Amino acid sequence: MLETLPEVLNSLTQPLNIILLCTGVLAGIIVGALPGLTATMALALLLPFTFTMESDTSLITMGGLYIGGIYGGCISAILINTPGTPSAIATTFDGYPMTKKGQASKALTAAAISSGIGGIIGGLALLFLTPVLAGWALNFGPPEYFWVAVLGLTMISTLSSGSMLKGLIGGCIGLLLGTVGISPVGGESRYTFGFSQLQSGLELIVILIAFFCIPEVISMIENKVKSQKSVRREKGIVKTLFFNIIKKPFFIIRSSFIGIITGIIPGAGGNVASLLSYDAAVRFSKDKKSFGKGNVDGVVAAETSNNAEVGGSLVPLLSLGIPGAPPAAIILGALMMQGITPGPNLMSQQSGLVYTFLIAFVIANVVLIIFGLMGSRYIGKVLSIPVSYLAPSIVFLTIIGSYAIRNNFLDIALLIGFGLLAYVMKNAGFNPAPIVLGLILGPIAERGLAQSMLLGEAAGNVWGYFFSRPISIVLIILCALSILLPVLGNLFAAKNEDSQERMGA
Amino acid sequence: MQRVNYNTISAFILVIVAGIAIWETRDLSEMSYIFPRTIGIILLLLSIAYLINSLIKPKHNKLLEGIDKRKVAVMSAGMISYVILIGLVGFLIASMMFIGFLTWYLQRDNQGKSGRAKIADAAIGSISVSVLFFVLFRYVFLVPLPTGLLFG
Repeated sequence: MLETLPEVLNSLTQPLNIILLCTGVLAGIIVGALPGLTATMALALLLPFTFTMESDTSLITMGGLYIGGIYGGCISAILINTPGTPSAIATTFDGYPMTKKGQASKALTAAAISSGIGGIIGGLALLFLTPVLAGWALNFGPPEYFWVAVLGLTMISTLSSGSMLKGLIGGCIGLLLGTVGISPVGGESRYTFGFSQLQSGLELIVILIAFFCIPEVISMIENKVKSQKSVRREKGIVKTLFFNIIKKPFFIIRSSFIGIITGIIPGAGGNVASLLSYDAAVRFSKDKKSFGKGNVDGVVAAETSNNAEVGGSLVPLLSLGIPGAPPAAIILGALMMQGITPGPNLMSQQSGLVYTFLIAFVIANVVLIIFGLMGSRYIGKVLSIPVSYLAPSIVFLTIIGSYAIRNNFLDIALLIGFGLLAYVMKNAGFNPAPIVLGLILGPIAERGLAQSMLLGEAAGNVWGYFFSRPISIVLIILCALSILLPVLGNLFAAKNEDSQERMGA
Repeated sequence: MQRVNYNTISAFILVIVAGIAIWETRDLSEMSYIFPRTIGIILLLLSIAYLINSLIKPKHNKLLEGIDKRKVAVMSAGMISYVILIGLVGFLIASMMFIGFLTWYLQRDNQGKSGRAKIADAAIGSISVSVLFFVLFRYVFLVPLPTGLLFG
């Protein structure tokens, strides 16, 4: 790491990079704060602006946007009880009751401090875990990549809130969409239906925007913006809250740890992290009844965790080339646009760039605290921008973004086509998350599968090649746990309820 | 006879999609078909399970229940027309028309504004947003935005 220090310092002291880091955080906060505009959307909408930038500048800006976007979600969660991003769902539980009690300023301050601290811990995890995991991943062969992809896919069982059958069907559709184009090993073109532009496959970012942004924009025109209470300024609150938060190191570390682990697991995003962390906070608290009624610890638990998740979700991206969450998938797209392929070799080939990004990531979290403390009350004002201006402008930006990637008109048609399909599917109970997860992991799984089969055939034992390598065995056990734990959890919960009912009777 | 619900229709469409996915792999070599065909078969089995499930336990709620279908339809038709317009008259003019029309349409419920003010708002908004971003992308970021068949 030390040998890259001059390059890192040179990049981080450039005025343009500093300005864009701050602009990225601020723009992320604003977009994230608008209900219906998720952090994924913040990245997707602002992605085309980074196309002409140098790779370090582009990565720094995207990192700032991601961090700001996840934090921004808490502003509308606290002020109008609507999470600006799904990650802020658990922030509404105690954040909005605090606003109703006239403590909006306290809630916003606590959210800014805890988001920043969670983000810094996540950033440090990213800084130290990425080289370790990348080093480990250098031993990965095709079967290991296959099992990592399968591990990500098993997360569908936890992602598909509602019907697991629909989640699995969505996952299969995503996997099939991922096979459009030239086959990675066989070399034949598949499912192109005569369109030569489809031979290079569906553009990941276009499909991500179609599935995550278009349904949100269509739903947005239904939203009625709730009236917002004015935020009273409370003096001396920053210092008190800051000391209150750092006095509970175990609480902060537990919330951050949950966030980082959830982030590393492909597929599970900030919403899962914040809910798990909130749940842990309630479970270990002595004063359980105060949660949900405006306990500041609820806000701190949720916000620490969802911002720590940001760092976690970038660990598998930088070390394995597998994004840990939907916004990280957009960053994957941005990296590919710059001609950089994330994976275990990235660390050795572009270590200067990676460390620049990692250190900028930690700095961006400090910037986040400053902006959050200074401006969250003012940023709350953007919540009142009328949908009639916002919705058409967002569609316009998604169109520019999709077209600018490879100047292909078909991509615009695919964006709107898949976007409308995604809206209908979402209303029929098919969530976009499993579909997109399938699309991202499909090509990784397919390449792993086909290459392993070839190598296994050459070695004379295909099954042995898949099931006998030590890292593969660990991954297979993790896959089995990932499928069984939610099922066992449900059984356990049902049994618990049963016995409680009996005790009550 | 009970009415067919949207789950049955979705399941039926999915069975057809899975069928096409499997059929399309018929001429490929093993390395190219192994993955999509396996996924196609899994999708077919899951869709059949979904179909049976929807017939045994039909739900009576409708698709898009409680949603302002007219607004959604206008928005969707607007987006489709936008794509066609980009192909015909180019990006700049199509964007002005799309943003202008939708901004005007979505302000319908706003009783506080006169009809003329709504049109003026929509026109100013659409022209400024479209021109600003067109210039930015076309001349600063050098993205060759589509000019359309009529002017290309």
